[in-house]
Formats: sequence, C-alpha cells, structure tokens
Amino acid sequence: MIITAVLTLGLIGFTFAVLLAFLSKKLKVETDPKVDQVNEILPNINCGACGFSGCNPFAEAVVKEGKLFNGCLPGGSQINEEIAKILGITATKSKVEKIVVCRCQAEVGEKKISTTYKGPKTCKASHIVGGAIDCTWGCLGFGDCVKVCPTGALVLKNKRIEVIFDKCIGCGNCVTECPRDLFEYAPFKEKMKLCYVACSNNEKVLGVKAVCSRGCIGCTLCTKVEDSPYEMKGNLSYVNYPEAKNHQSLDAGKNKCPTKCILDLNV
Amino acid sequence: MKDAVKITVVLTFVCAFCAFLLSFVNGAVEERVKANQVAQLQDALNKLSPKAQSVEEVAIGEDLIYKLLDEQKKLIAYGFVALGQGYQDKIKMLVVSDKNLRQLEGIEVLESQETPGLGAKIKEADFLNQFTKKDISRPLECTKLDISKKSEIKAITSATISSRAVVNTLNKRIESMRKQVKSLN
Amino acid sequence: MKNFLKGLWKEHPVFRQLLGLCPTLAVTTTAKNGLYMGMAVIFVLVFSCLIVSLIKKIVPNQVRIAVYTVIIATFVTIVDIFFKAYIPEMSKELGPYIPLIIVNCIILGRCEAFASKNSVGKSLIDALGMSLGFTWGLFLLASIRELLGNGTILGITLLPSGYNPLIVMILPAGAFLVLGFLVALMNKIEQAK
Repeated sequence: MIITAVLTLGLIGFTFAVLLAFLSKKLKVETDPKVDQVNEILPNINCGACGFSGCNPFAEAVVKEGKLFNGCLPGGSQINEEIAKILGITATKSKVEKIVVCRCQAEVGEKKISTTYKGPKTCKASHIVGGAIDCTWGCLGFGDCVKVCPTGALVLKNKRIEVIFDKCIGCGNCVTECPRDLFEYAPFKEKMKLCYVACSNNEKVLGVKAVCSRGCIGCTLCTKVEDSPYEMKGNLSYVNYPEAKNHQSLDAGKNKCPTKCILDLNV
Repeated sequence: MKDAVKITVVLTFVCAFCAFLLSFVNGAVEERVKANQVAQLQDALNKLSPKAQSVEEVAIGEDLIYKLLDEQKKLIAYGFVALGQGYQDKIKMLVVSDKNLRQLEGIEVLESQETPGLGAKIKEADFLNQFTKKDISRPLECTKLDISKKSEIKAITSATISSRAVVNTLNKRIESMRKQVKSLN
Repeated sequence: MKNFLKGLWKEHPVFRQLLGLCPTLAVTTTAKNGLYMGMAVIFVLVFSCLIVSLIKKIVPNQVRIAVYTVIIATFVTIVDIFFKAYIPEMSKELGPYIPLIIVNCIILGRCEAFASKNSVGKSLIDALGMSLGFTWGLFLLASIRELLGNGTILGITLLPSGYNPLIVMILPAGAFLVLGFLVALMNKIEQAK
C-alpha cells in the first residue's frame, strides 16, 4: 500500500520534473541581470498596484526606462529605495537631473485657517470645495502627495510638506497628484547651492497678507538684486534656474524677501 | 545538465516523501473511518427500529438489505439505504419499513450537503417525523401546502427542492426494494 | 511581533488582501463551519510554510510551484483524513471545501511571497498571524450570517423567536453583502487613523 503510493506519486513527480527541466531549457528567455536583481527584492505577489500586470513586467519596465513609475506599493519605500539603488538613480548621484520643491511651506499659524472643513481628509476632495485653508493657492496639508511618493521623500509636518531632497528621485508622482500644482521641478546641481520661492499665491499684497504671513506679496525686491535669477510672473516670483549663475545672487534675493518665502533647496 | 538533474531529483523526492507520509497517516486512521461509517448505520437502525434484536445483512446485486429480526429470529422489518440527487449533492438515507413494505417505521438522513439553515433542515425531526409510521402503499407526494391526503409530505419552507429530493429518492428506492424483496422470497 | 500582528489586522488576508474568498463565502453559513475551516487552514498554512522555508534553498526555481503545491496538497490531505476519521460530521458539513484549501490563494500566496524568502522562524510567525487572522475573519462573517439568517450563533439561539430570519444571509448573495460591508468597515477604520 505504502509502496504503491510512493511509487505512483514518485513516478508522476519524476515525469513532470523531467518535462519541466526540458521545457525550462527550451523556452528560456534571456533576461537583463538587473531585471533579475529587481525581481529578487520585489514581494512577488503580482498584486498590480504599481499599474503593471505583475512583478516581472514592473521589473522589466523599471530597468528599461530607468525610472520607478509609481513604485511598488506593498514593497514600501524601503524596497523602492533599493530598486532606485540598483537602477543607479539616487539624489546624491549625478544621474538625477531634477528633483521637486514644494511651493508652499507655510505651517499652521502662518497660513490662516478660518473655516471648518468636515469632508474626506484628502487634498483632492477638499480642493473641489474650495479648500480647507483660507489661501486658495496654498498647501491643504492632507498629504495626498505623501501617499504616492515611492521613496518617502515627502513628509507631512504641521500641515506643511517637507521635501527630503536626498531621497527625491524626480519621479514626478507628486507633481501629478497635487491638485494645486504646488510641486515644481528644480534642477539638481551637486556643486551649487540653490533656492526656491515657496509660494504659489499670485494675488497682490493685501490679498496675500489676508490669508498668509509667509506668502509672496509681489514686492519684486528679489528681482532687483545684481544678476538676479528671479523673475516675476504676475504677482509671483519664480527662480529662473538656467539663469542662475552663482549662489550669491540667489542668496541676495533671498535675504531681500520681506516675508521670508524664499528658501534654500540644498546645502 | 546539472540543473536538470537537480530539478528531477528534488521534485521526485518531494513527491515520494509526501506519498509516504500520506499513506502512513491514512493507514493509521483507516480503521477509524470505517468504524465511523458502520457505527452511523448501526445507530440509525437502532433509532428507527428499537424492537429488533438482531440484524441480518443480505446482498442483492450491489445493494445491502438489512433484515431486522426479533428474538425468535423472525423478520419484523427491512432496513435499506436510499441514494438520490439533492439540491447540492447526493442525499443518503436509511429507510426502515415493515416487512410488507406497506408502512414506514421511519427514515434517517445519513449524508447530505444541502444548504445549512434551509435544505439541511431535512435532517431535523420536524421534517423526518412526517415519515414515522407513514403509509407507503401508494407513492408519496411532496406538497408546499398543508397536508390534505394520506400520501402527502409537507415540504420545508424555502427548501422545496431538497424536500422533493428526499420524497422522490424514497419512492424510487421503495419501488426497487419491492422488486428485490420479491426476488428474495 | 509586527510580523505576527500584520496578519491579524493591517494585512488581513480576507478583508485587506481579499484572498481566499471562495471558502470565505462558501463555508461561513454557520459560525461552527467558519471556525473549523479556520482551524484546518491554520494547520495547513503553518506546516506548509514551515516546510517550504526549510527547503527553500534546495528547490530549483523551475519546479518551485510544483513542489510547493505537492507539499500543500499533502498537508490538506492529512487534514481531510483527520476530519473524516475524528470529526466526521464536520467533514460532511464542509464537504469539498476542505480539499479546496489546496488552491486557497492564501496558502500558496504566503508560501511564495514570504516563506520562500524568509527564515523558518519568521515564516512560522507570519503563517500563524495570517491563518489566525483568516480564522477570526471567517468566524465574524459566519456569526453575522448565522445570526441574521437563523437567529443563532454556534447553534445557540440569541434572537427572540418572533424574529423573522433574513434567508438571504444564508445564501451566497448574503455572503457577498456581509463581506462587502466588513471590507468597507475595515477600510473606514484604517482611513480614520
């Protein structure tokens, strides 16, 4: 009885094993070793949260395009960072051409909140009804962007988004996700200190002051320093990065700002 | 080549080992499984015909008929198994009837896979008691309404199919039983 | 610890990962059935993950699936034999769903995603967490269905005799409804955090 069972199942196993061994040689697909490396660290549950049909297609696409897309959701930021390492894209290597800045850094207390919002706690939802803060241009602080950042470079602190520039790989998920388009690409220059204007409010002085103490009031003082890389678009200041030749001019403009809304990008 | 060997060895060994483990476990409880089935049948027979002192098994074709005998070894009742399609799967019943196959002592449902809370109610006393001392000189009918004729059985609410299955299976088996008893005597 | 707890809530196999829905919907007609199915899965998952994790280094990639399936099938067969021998009435209640544990996504899923890549200790804890989570999930779902559809939980009548049972709860449609609500409830609780 036992012998029959062992022989039967053993024989079946043997037959299938031979078949599998043969087929795996015959139908072998040559793969990029990087794809195998990525596949190794993926959770391999083929959930499809990344938008691809499985872990292998995701690994292939990531290696082929050299970017993380939406990252691996169940893998988390730890696995995404490791994938970024394999692909050679990290903020400290020169492969990264651009990172993002968040053009609103006002915290609770600096941006006025005189409404009570009781809807779903997401930026997208609150934006539809006009927002949960007084400023109709600024950061709503619910962290939709934090959820889509594959490397955990975005942190929500006191209803303000802090960008950990070392972790940013410039994937652009936050740019797409933010309903108020607060994220802007900035070039990453390892050797040069850069600044950015942390405000997106394009209204005039009184309009800005009524809703926030850290906003750009359109005073144009930053544009008037020597070799200024700052330029006005309407009542809002922008850094023209290709024009920024040295960090002294950036610093000069930054020091002139009365509301201190120009901040350092990297140090 | 080394890969192919490793593949073959691993899978074959895993299969062989699992087969060994399984046949070992199976052998250890085989007795118990058989005993369970016998015990279940015995319990059902006892429940339906407590007056019987002994049971004689007779094989007719593929079926086993149970002759229920008194102290003088005289036949007082027949016990037989009925099998038929229910709503979900097959329903297996034990039927005990008088020696003339005119009146049922009763039935017991041995195995069924009907929907719990609905069809499964065919196992309950409320439904089965209808078959106690039931006249089977005419085939039984299953009705959704209250009983108006002697040969009717009231179906369980929301479990018509299961109830009908029991009645139909019973009727068919009684018919075949009549033929089998004739061939016996 | 976190490894164990994640199967109980954060990564609950049924309510969050939506795995193993076939037995979940099919056997949760009574709380007792749900409980026994859960216990069968605990046995299968724990032992399967244990063995898979033990032999993970020697199994070639090409026969991974075949080997894991054979191991899982073996343990499921052991459970089936055990039920038939020692708890025959439950074996009849659960019917074909015990053998179907072999193809329950949770089992192969955890073996593939976790046990094949982690140490024996971690795999054991993960398996325990997931299977216990599965069990409480099934027990809850089954209790609700049994209570609303029959007025009882574990056979004990809890609702007054005047209660008119919601038959739909015992049918497949009711299973989907209750499951849907439970998944939604869990999402709501997670979002509020």
